[in-house]
Amino acid sequence: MKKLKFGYHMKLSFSGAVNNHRFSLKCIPHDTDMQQIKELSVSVYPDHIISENTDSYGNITLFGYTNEYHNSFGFDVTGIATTGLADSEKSQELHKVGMYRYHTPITRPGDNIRYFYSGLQLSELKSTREKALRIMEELYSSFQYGQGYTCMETTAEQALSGGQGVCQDYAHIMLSLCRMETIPCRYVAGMMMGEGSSHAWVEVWDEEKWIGYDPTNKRLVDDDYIKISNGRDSADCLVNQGIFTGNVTQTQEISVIVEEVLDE
Amino acid sequence: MTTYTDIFSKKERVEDMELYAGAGDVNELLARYGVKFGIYKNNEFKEQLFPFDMIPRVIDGKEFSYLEKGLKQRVMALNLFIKDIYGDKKIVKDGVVPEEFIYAGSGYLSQCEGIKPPKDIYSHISGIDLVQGKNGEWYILEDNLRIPSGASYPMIARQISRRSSPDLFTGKHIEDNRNYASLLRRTMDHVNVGGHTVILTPGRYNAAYFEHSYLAEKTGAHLVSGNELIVENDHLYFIDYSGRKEKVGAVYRRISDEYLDPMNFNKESVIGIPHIFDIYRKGNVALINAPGNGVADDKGIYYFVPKMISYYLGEEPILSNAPTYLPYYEEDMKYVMENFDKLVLKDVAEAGGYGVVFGNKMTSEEKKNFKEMLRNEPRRFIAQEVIDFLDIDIMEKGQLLPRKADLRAFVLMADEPMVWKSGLTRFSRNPDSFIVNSSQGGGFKDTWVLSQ
Repeated sequence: MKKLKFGYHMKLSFSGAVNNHRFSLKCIPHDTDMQQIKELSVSVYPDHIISENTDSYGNITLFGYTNEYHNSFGFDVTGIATTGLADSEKSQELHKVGMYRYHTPITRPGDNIRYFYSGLQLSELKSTREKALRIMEELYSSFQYGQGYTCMETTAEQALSGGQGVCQDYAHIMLSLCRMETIPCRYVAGMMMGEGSSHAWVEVWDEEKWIGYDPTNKRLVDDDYIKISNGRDSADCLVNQGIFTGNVTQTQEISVIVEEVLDE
Repeated sequence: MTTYTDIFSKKERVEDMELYAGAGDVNELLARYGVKFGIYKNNEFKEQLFPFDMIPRVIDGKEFSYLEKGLKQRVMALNLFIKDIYGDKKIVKDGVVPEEFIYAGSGYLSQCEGIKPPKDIYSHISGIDLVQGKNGEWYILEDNLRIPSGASYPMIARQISRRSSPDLFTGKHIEDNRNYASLLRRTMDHVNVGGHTVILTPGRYNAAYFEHSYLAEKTGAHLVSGNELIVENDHLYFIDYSGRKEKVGAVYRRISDEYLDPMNFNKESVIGIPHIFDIYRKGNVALINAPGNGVADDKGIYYFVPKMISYYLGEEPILSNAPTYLPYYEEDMKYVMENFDKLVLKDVAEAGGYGVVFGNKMTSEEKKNFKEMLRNEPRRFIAQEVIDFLDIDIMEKGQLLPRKADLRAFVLMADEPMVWKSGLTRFSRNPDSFIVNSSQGGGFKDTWVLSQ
């Protein structure tokens, strides 16, 4: 069990002024069996009208809009998470998690994933745990971490054929392989101990529990991780989604800091 | 079995009909009123007239009350099914519908999980397509639970025919079909959560634009496009001509799920309303019909509807499906392979009469390829016995000609299910064709339900 202080900052900068900006944000971690969130503070700028909701996947969603002209848009989320309260999340029964068992356009396998899948020889393994571990280990050793090779929209198949990618790509490929084995599994967006960007991993359904696997780091999810959202793939967990009026280019900066708070 | 010959005298049939239909009066008036539907062909939008045939389909009161019972039962079960799928999923747990028919199809929308629409109604307006066999038996061909269109055509055709040919109606005991507007109004009001009722149209380049404007006029609802509606502080508002915002409590949207809300569905949509789905999720507006209904009107799911009726209502289905086989099941696959020539095969992902092939119309090469495709993708197709349709007469150039026709019945759900005592009868103008869809050049008739 750990106490983690976190800060998640996102800033969109536009090359000119925009208005009529509508946005949906999934940037707030919530209490689960594994983590408890305290001292939460959320600020979104510029001035706006905002509402809160919970989506189909259980994520907190902020949605709203701003009418004033602005050159940047962003949010700061800070708080304290107590992590490692359990080693998994309880799940609903199998018939209720069916949507996580089927491919989405992003996880749908092509020839490369099918070839990789056949090399895994998962049929010789019995338990979901053994299968998930083998997928994670083999993926970790065959896929290289590298930024700039993939983008937000890259599919699992495209990422694997390119050979390099980021945490989102590792997660999508692992989801694709688990679903080929008809194992329900979901994409998780969150934060990890340290300083840098946001992180993504996978939860695999195993006997009414969701077990977290982090294929980017080849390790099981523990008290170093804070979950923000989950869904069928990254499209269900977009931290920021928006539409606005204005013919501009935009750049997004994300900075995440998670550090342990040691009790005196 | 009643037909028009039972209620029209020989003179009416031969001379008067010819006079009215042959002169093209009604069709001319319909054209003037703008009763058209548009189709996209080679990326071009073209409006076509929907040819109207004067000879009505006649259904006697007793027969219709049988249909009515069966249709209500079917729509009740379909509603319960949609509620179950986006909620408890008991029918999956109990193994009545295999999971993959839900999640692997395109109709299921995970965004709708856990949403409870106002009054638990999902399919407010259902268009159920039926055909009558030569034996007089009615069969359900298809359920349309997304945005079924077509009610306006028999409504206006009746209105115009009454005006141009009043004699034809004299002494006939026909149920008035002009009450569709009040049934629809009652349906919309029943789920309205407080505020105006609007009909949302994608605009005049939509195939059914005539219908949107006609129904708005007849129900007294505002006809609006996406840019006249705005979500603010958890509610939906209509912006009137003076810029004032008026709260909206129910939206009869004639925009498909995909384009309804760019923040929740297709991001490219410019005709939708950002965040409307978020406030619908919160129960602050009624969407008619509910998003996600496609999970229940998929051609693959059709096979399971009789099973749903028994499962949810504990009743025997009153109306039958056309005999259908699901190659997904091994024994059905075997039957389909062995009886290929007498079956019609339908691609579950296609609509509007596309993706329909007849076994006996294929060359042996095509058959071989199709069978291979079927083995590789058994879930993609259903196979049905070809029903020996009861032909109905149409009038063409003063001649009576038999043609294939179907009937779209409209079932509206308010505090109780209501079946409109009329319907859209569509016929194929091509004597060899079984496909009656308007997008494939068919025509339509009025449907007269007799009050006795």
